[in-house]
Amino acid sequence: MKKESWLTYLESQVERCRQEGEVLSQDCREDEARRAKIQGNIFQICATVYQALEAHLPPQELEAAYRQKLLALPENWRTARDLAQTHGALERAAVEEWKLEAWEQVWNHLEKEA
Amino acid sequence: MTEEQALKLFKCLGDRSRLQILKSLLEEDMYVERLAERLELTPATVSFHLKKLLDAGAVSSRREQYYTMYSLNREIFQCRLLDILGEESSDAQRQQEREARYRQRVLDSFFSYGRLQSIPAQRKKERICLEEIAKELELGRPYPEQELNQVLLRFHQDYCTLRRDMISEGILRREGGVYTRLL
Repeated sequence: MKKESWLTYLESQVERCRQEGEVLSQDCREDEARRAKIQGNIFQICATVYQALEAHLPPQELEAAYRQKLLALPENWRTARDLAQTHGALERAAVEEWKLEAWEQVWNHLEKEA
Repeated sequence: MTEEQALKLFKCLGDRSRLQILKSLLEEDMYVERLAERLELTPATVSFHLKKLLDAGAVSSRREQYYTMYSLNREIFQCRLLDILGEESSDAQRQQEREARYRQRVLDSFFSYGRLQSIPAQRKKERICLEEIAKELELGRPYPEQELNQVLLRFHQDYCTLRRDMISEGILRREGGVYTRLL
């Protein structure tokens, strides 16, 4: 996994989400615009985690550490989603699912890059 | 449909995807995945919208084997917009209640044992008191001046001011020395 291409990928996803949000908002689809914003935040988190690890880890340890961090990320979202579903809080569950969708995109892309 | 229900529904309908969901359900009842496929949305997003529609009463759900089927609540959409506009606003009701309470406070302040303690200086308060006094008069019946004065004296010694102000407020009409209650 090359640092530049990885960060470029994540930044492009952040930008894509931002643009998508604008289009959706103009199309009277505010809730989906919010989804785009939430997913953009997830891509940003993944980029920030990478940059934080890169700042204090040697290159040979970076990828493994990043994968480990990335795998741990969705745990809270899954728990929150399951809890929301149990209590019939479907809107809340959907929000957590949106985060997981974005995370899954990142993970699948990372797997492809490896 | 109450004004509150209408507000909730209109807010919910102000979304293109939710309108598309309703249009789909107009054709037939559907489950989440079917709607997601048809509208090219993720199931999570469709669930999000359906929950909003459920809360607004626009759709209902039922279990069918492994699926939760959603259907359009047609009755809610048969309500005319004119009927909703004609529905008395909860704001209007609250305003009426506030006015009634204010009116009672004024009467409690200025009347004691059925007599007016003083004629209010504030026009709005005076009008409330004059309307209360006017209830002693029969609507539309002509009163000679002397008889009217006797009625007004029961409330306050300054019957002239009461009489004059009731005319200027449009509560009484004077015609050839005879007075008629209008309101």
